[in-house]
Amino acid sequence: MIDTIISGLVHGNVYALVAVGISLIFGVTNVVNFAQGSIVGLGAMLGWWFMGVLGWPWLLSLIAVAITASVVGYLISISAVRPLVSAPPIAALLATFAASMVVDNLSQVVFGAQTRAFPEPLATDNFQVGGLRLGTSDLVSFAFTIIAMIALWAFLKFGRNGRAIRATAADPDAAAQMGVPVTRVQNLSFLLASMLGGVGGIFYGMFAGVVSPVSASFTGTVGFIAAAVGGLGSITGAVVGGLLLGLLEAIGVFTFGDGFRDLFIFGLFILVLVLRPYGLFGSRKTVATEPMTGTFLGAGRPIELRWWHWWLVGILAAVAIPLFGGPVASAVGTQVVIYAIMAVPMTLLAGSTGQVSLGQAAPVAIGAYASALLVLRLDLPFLAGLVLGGLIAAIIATAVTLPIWRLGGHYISLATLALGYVVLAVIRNWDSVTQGAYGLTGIPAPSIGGFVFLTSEQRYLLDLVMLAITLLVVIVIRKSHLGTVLSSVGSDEVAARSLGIYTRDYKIMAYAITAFFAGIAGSLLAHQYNYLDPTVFPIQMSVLVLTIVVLGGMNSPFGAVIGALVLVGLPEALRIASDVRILLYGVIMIAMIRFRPQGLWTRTTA
Amino acid sequence: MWTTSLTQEYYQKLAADEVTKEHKKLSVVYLQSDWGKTSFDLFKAEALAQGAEIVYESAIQPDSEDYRPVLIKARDAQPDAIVHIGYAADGARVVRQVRELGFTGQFYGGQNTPQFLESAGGAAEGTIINENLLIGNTAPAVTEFYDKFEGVYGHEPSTFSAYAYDALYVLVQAAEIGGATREGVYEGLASGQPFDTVQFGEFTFGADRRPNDVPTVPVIVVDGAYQALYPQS
Repeated sequence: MIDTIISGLVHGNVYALVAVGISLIFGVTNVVNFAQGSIVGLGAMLGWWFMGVLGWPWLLSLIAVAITASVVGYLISISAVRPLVSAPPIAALLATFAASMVVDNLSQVVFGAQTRAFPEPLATDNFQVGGLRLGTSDLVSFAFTIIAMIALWAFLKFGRNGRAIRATAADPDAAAQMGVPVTRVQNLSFLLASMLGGVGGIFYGMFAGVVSPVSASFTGTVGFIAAAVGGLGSITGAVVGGLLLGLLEAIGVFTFGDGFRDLFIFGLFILVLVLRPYGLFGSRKTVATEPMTGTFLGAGRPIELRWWHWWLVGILAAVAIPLFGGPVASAVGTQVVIYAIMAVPMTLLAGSTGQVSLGQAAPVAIGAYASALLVLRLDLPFLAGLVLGGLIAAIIATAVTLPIWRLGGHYISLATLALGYVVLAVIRNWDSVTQGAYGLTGIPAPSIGGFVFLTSEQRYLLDLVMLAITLLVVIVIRKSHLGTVLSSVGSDEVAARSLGIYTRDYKIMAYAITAFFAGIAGSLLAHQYNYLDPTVFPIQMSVLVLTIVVLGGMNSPFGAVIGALVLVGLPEALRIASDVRILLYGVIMIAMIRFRPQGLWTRTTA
Repeated sequence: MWTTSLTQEYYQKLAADEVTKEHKKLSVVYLQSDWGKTSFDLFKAEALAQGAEIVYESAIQPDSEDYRPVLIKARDAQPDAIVHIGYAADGARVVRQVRELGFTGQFYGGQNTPQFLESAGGAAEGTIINENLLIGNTAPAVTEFYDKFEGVYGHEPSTFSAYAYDALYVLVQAAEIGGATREGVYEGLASGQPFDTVQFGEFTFGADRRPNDVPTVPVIVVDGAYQALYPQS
């Protein structure tokens, strides 16, 4: 057991390095820098390249990585975060998330996706502790974390720029009036955090022994969880959170096996959010519900379609694609339509109530498995499976996240991100019900009243009808009194609450509706693929749905359809490779948030 | 569908037979995917049939950095050998960490690819994996394949390179039998005639449209390169 504990602490040390950077930036700018994990990964790959390929000595590589990482962080700050400082937090959240997509996939394109052996400039196994061989590198890593933590603390408490950072964190306007160069300070904090992250990447590489762009980014994701567990904004919390997470992960995996790893990390996180949301060292005020959107998105009115526009588009889509495109175009069309079904209700969640869900793949997966299992095991008809799949997805997703909706927007995003991993872990391990990684085979094709939808064209039309129903429901809600209330929650939560509106409940309602339709989309996927396994619902699916909504316009249902057409249809048609695709999505998201945050399908009002 | 790829039913049985020849107490880690789990089930069935005991078994995730919590338990069960069923990337991590944890027994696993050797470094020394007939095979067809491949790509071919090469040439041979049309290739594949391959020499497809009467050869990593465990004279 002692070996496991030490191993967990060493791993946790890596998480801590990521978390420190995140807490530092959050404390100063109130932004969760989703790109931090990517910078750690980049640091690792750069370390491999400098030391392993170019053959530079350790210290030189360390400095080179620190400089490069700082530059990348600075670029992210001035291009994606600073310009949005007067925009509501949702903008910066999306921008840093997009930045992480760009950095991760750029790293993959530049360095290649293979795993590489990380050079061992410091001995990694020169002494024995218990049954474990530890090395100088692990000691140096620990020492670095402690020194970084102390140095940061001293810098923030006593240093001139450090105090400037704290002043900016407390009240940017007051700080500006006192002559603190707020812009420079915020850029400085990004620079500092990225430098730490990059160097942390080198230590991560030495710990892991082998690195690849993909594995490094998972470590980054866990870093956020560590920062949140410790308390966003608290440096001490970040270190403690990281070590604790590493420890608990090791003990959990030791006891239950590696299959439960995700369940432990992300399940623990959701537990912390429920019991002590501000984390171990955080303060209550960090979780105060702050408005995420304000009039940020209202700057553009969605271009409304008249009823006959809808009929025209609908008939065109229904006739032209199968007739002129045949089975291939219909198959692509099916993908587009299913993603549109996932994206359209998000206009209620992200657009109206201003909440960002980073894990939409979770209710899709729940709906898919629920529908498939109900039809396979209980012989229910397809339509029953479809509707029940949607309902079960809505119920489970809402129930698990229920206690978290009273928290601020960042926590919601992190919680939905965690939900994505938790749901997949449950599916993967619950062999007796879901058949785990083996997958479910032989899921019957959709059939209504005896008619079986077998060809691509038939399925495309079925999905089109489902999309029409989704659009109808969402548009009716938006135009109704309920829709107005939901919009009020997003535009100005404080005003809404002072009018007596239970904003938390309306957010939950919007999420439940989104989850319901996500479940329906999942059910359609299940019965059309005829096969399901956990790999069908990766994080990329959640990322794609979000990008679609941002591109089309978070307030525009038809915009979501256009977004799906562009982001799903075009890459399929042009056969763009998947890692380049994510890169593209990231760039598109940043560009949209910067230059046209209201989305494509909107009209800017004066 | 025809393929030169060996079924896991066939491959894992041979792998288990090889492992249990000398080792009766095994710890096994396998990838938590449909391939990994199925392969493990087949391996386990054959290992138990050969009288071996599996003292520890655990699924592992392909994207985990740290397998130590699992490997510590695998080591503490005091097996004669640790077996890994997975791919090169996770295999490299497993073998590195297994050695770091002080396990000195035999390790079976990884994959016959340059990536495994490169990522695992010194820890791969002594690893045994069951392979096809390529390594240590001095048949002219094989050496020609190796030389040509290295000439074009600059590095040694891996198992997958050989599979791809063979698959394509089987199609060529099938077309030579039945004609260069869809029906012709189908006829050629179904004809029951033997095909020449680099990996297996000459073989015929079984009733399940796979090669299932070809021998495999265990290879061992010595001085950072693979060589046949039982050298052919």
